[in-house]
Amino acid sequence: MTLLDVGGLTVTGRHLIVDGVDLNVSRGETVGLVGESGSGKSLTARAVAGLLPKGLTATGSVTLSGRELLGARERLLRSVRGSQVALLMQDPFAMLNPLRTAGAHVAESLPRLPRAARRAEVLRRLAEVGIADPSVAGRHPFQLSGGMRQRVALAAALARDPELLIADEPTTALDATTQHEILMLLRGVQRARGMGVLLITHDLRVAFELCDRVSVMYAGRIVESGPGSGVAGAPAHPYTSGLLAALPSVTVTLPRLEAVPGSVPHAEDVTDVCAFAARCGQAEPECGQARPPLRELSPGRRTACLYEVRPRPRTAPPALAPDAAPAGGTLLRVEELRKRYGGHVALGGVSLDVGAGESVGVVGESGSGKTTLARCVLGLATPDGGRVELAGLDVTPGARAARREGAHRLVQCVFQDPSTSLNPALTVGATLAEAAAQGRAEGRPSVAELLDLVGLPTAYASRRPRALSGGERQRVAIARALAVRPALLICDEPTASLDVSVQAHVLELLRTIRRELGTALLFITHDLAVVRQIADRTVVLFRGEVVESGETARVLDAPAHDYTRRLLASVPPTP
Amino acid sequence: MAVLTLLARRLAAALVLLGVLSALTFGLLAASPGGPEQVLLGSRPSTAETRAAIRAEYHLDDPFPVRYARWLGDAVRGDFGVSIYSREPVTDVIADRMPVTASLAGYALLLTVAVGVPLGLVAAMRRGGALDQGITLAALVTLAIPPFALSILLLYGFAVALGWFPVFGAGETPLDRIVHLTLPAIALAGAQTAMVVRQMRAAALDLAGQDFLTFARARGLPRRRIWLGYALRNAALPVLTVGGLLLAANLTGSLFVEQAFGLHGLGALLIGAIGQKDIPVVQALVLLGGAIVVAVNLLIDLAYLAVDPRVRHGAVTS
Repeated sequence: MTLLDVGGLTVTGRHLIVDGVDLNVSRGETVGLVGESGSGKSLTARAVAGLLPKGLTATGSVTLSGRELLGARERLLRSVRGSQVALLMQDPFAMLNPLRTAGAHVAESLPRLPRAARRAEVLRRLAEVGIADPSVAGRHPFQLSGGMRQRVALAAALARDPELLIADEPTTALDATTQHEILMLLRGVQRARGMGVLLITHDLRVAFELCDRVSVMYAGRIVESGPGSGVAGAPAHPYTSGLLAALPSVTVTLPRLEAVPGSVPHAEDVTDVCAFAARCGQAEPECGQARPPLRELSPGRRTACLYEVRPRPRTAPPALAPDAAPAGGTLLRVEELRKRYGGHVALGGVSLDVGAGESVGVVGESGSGKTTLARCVLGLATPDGGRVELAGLDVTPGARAARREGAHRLVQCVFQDPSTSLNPALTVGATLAEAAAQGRAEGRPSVAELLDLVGLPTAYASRRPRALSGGERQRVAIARALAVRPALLICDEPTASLDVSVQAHVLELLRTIRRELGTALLFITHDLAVVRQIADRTVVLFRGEVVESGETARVLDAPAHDYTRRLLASVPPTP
Repeated sequence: MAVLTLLARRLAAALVLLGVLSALTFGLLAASPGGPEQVLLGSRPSTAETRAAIRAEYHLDDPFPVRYARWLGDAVRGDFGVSIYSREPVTDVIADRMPVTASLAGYALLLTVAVGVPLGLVAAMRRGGALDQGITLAALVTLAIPPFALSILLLYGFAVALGWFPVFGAGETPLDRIVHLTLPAIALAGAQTAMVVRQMRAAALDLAGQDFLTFARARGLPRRRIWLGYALRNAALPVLTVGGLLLAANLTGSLFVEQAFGLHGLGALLIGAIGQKDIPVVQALVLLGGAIVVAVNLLIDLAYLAVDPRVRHGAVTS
């Protein structure tokens, strides 16, 4: 029986954001709402819970167990929230009140109970989400890890036994292994309670692994829906098909990563046409004439594409042999690097080499020391012990013999979040010119050359970062790093904050740069599928120690260390 | 453990601060124009005998560190010597004035918090609305009016024209005192309330976008709990700091308001003492002011400890 029924949901702020979404969730069913950033999926979830941010209005209909929620009074909504519909949010670090204990969060959400019974009930609820240690109830959020916080939040969200749980990217901010645990927990709780779950995610693999049915959202509307396995096996919309093709695989190194060209349009610019037509490889004139309806292919299977999707030639692509190790000597040598922060050991004696023109992946979870390693090599952090050698020069930060001047011409960095790593006050051209001026005068690249290198039009030089999309900003950041023609490029999770289709683009760009300029890469990531696509060799870091290293294919296909095996097991299968 | 280290560190810093302040204060006398004996003589005739008597009484022939040590020893025991002007012990003079200033400061702080915190919260809740704009504008205007001007306006309006409140003095019985101090407290609290409103509004706006408030609403928590347990408690931290500093400023005397309402408080005393070159009184007042600021800051630290578990567990330093 239908629990949640969303019909023609439209969310408008200054612009149209969600455009006529239909969705339903039955009791005991998990439905996935998949889309990239800007697709309107999170605001759809907020609208269902009646928690839209100020300034946004929703029209259409949202009925929960037959009761209309849209336009209902706040009083009614408050009685429905928590007891019938609960919302679990993305960031476990921001979702809990920093001043209250974990137990208090659960207790305040419970119905009224006598004191002693309440305490026992809190512990029971925490046990349900896999927290067996009763002392956790007395701890504050800042004393708990991300995974623990997400568990506490889940217990609090479930305290009034809602019939429907909306989980908005509940695992995006977590490490791979924790992510896997939380997803399995979510599935377990859902099955035990027979609850309906609406899972919002940008990760197709997560959606397919967990959901009975999946709806794909694009530019504020649903473009395809159907059972998870059906959508994964035979996508019926070119967008879904493009997203699937852009997914990196952990088992094979793809010769070419297919990105979806262009960027997501605003919902209101495409109300009367197919929203995807401008980026579609098989668009026909008809696509730009009317908005394609969500037509039924078979019972429960719908697509908003007028045509049959051409299958992508992606049946067992030839595994790419890793590029032959370049002949050059060792470019970066890190020996026994140690660094402590208070009582926490960030690096406990890490050694690794990067050859000239080689690509080395560093894999590990948060807290494994991978970012500290990058900062030490860049000279941004001073290690407590060990050596960093670049092209034969001792550049160990803080060491007496260190000769850092000139080191910035040898090594450059691309950071994780391009929205904060570019100066918002400078135009792209000014940023690139400033960076290039740090290099040697002869052979200094011009702004146009740098933009061309990363595949951006020359006209972008006059734009400011705000006017660019996330992927474009990251390409500018890469161009900036390349401006001094470094021999080594350190990439610290450069695609972690990007959408899948954009990630494919950036990864492909980095591969091309390496091939054409011979720049060595030290690629730091938590994503094994990404490392498979980009690195010749892989080093696995665990709690500041190298636990395994070797050729990427060998490490991923035949892992020798337990931790590597655990990391691999937590990667959702690639459809 | 972290709590004790924090407290120990703060106490040590407070002692060092007071030590430096006392040395500077004592230096006041030695560095005063005409030399210490001239100042200590005051209006008495300056003859060789009186000067010698003063030198002997105050041990002015001893080396500076010895004099400082003796003075500090006395000061710690509450003996700041005798007022040159009134010939009474300085401690008595100050004790005489303290109650007026303390009740005025407390009253003003009460008004500031009782009015400023809710207004700031309401302004943040109704962000951009007419109420928010009204409150923000009113705060800006109040902030721009100097306290003495506000004092005169209040005096004219409520004491002279309407006759609701007395014009002058501090009152004798407790109830009488409240009536007498109402207008001065309002005059003092005006600008401070405006500051607290702005601070509270900014803190609450900061919170409004936080996930934990949305998550609290998503769990269907009652509105009262969300506002008190979530919004108010999290916004309280920056407001606590401002409130404490205001209290310290008020306790050390509120010059303009005391002058305007003819209150004999510490502010008026300080002005008088400086005018009469009554150095022992000035010394005691400066040191008292320092001690109050230090004590209030310690109280703020303790309040932080009580409100924020992150400080309690040493996860962040305030």
